[in-house]
Amino acid sequence: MMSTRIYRRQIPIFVVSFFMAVLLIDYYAPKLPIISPVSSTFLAWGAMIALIQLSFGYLTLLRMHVERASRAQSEGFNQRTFKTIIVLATFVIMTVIGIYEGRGNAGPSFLFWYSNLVAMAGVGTVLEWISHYSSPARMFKITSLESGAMFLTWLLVCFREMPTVVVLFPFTESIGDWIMKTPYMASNRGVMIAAGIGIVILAVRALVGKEPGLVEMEVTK
Amino acid sequence: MTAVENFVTTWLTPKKMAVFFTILTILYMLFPVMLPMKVSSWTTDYIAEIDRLEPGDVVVWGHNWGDLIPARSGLTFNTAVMQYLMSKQLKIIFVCFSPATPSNMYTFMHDYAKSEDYGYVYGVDWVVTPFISGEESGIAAVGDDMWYPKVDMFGTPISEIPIYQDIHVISDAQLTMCDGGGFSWQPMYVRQWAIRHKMRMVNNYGFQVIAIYYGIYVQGCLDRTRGQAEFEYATDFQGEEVLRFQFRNIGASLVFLSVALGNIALYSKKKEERDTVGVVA
Repeated sequence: MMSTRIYRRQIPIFVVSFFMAVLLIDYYAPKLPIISPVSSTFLAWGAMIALIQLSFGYLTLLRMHVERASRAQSEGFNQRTFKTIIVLATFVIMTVIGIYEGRGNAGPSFLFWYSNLVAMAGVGTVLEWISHYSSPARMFKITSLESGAMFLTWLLVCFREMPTVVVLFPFTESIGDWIMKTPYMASNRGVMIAAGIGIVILAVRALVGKEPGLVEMEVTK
Repeated sequence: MTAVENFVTTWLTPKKMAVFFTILTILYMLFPVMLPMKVSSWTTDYIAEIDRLEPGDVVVWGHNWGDLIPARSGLTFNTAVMQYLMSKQLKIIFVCFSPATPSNMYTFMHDYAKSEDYGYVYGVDWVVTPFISGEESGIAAVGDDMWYPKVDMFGTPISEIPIYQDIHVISDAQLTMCDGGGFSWQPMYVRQWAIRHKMRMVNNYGFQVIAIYYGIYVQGCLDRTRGQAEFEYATDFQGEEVLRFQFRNIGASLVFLSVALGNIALYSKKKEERDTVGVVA
């Protein structure tokens, strides 16, 4: 009998590896008459599967809230129930207006932009001053050489973000841009290379069954 | 407690700082002070990329404006970019990678960019795709086949939409533009459109996300608020970013002040502790 590990882990890994191999060949190798159409089809499948996954996510979320709302009668009305009611009411209102007006409708867009946008702007306004004024004061306590270097880098980049400082002292822009173009880019490349190598190692380990990870946990559960 | 520490704990409480900055912001909104500013090379490159296009050329604008992006990230600035593109009589295909994006882009064009004022007709001069799922696989699928969505956001078959008639793969367009998302999204556009299809690309999001591609695969960039403000300043299509950027003269000074006070308080407290230990010893 086929073991759980084979059909829940090895077969999916093989299928994913096959798709990835085709996509990688198509991406890096010159266009081949056989590979390219197959690769395009795989990409389209990927996008469609993602759409189904997204729908599944929405339905799961909706199911959770309906279940929670149905429990309100036995468990009583609390803060979580209140949030659930808001989510469900919003869902119903947007759905009804959306169906009534059809695609490209003004109704949901109006609600979306002029309620959500204003709410987010309000939240942003409250959070902004904390992130811009309070956080740096706590972050940039110069207690060591490293924190001093970090503070200095931040300061020099900040100067570049002040228009009048740049006009009065043009060298501040050059210094800020140099930081972005040289040390920042070098560290960025370093992180990407490390992440890339890490992904390849993880993938190879998963292929040969040496990577425990989440799949293994689910298999052995 | 030292005098500085006393000042910080008494006057720099979160509530008092919030009130202070709110008043300052309102004052600045009422009486904006426009100070001189200059335009960086990244912004100049960005504008030059648009300027080199001919009227009627097609720009593919990859977007994933969801619920959060319009409110926080340059709605009026995007209006300025859009109006600049329309003033050059460029055609636009909005490719949407978030469920809310199609509706957002349509509202954006009507209510903010005022496409009708420029004589723009939907389907002829601009079009919005439906939501294309799959993130990078969606971006790649559209790059390979611009007709991949089959219909526009209203369900009209692409074969019946005039703007699409000469656009079958992304390289049939003259420029790609990407916005929204964040650190993970921008490299996806670069990989699947700029590198894979050798498309010219400009970025509206920020230099840090495309730094390693700049000059090779990305030909122009607006570096967040700074670049967006510079764009508005240089093209005279004004949104809110110039004001926001100008406020940084004051805002950043206050940040420096708060950092300086924080450090002074820290070191005066340390000194006090050392003095106390010395006295006890």
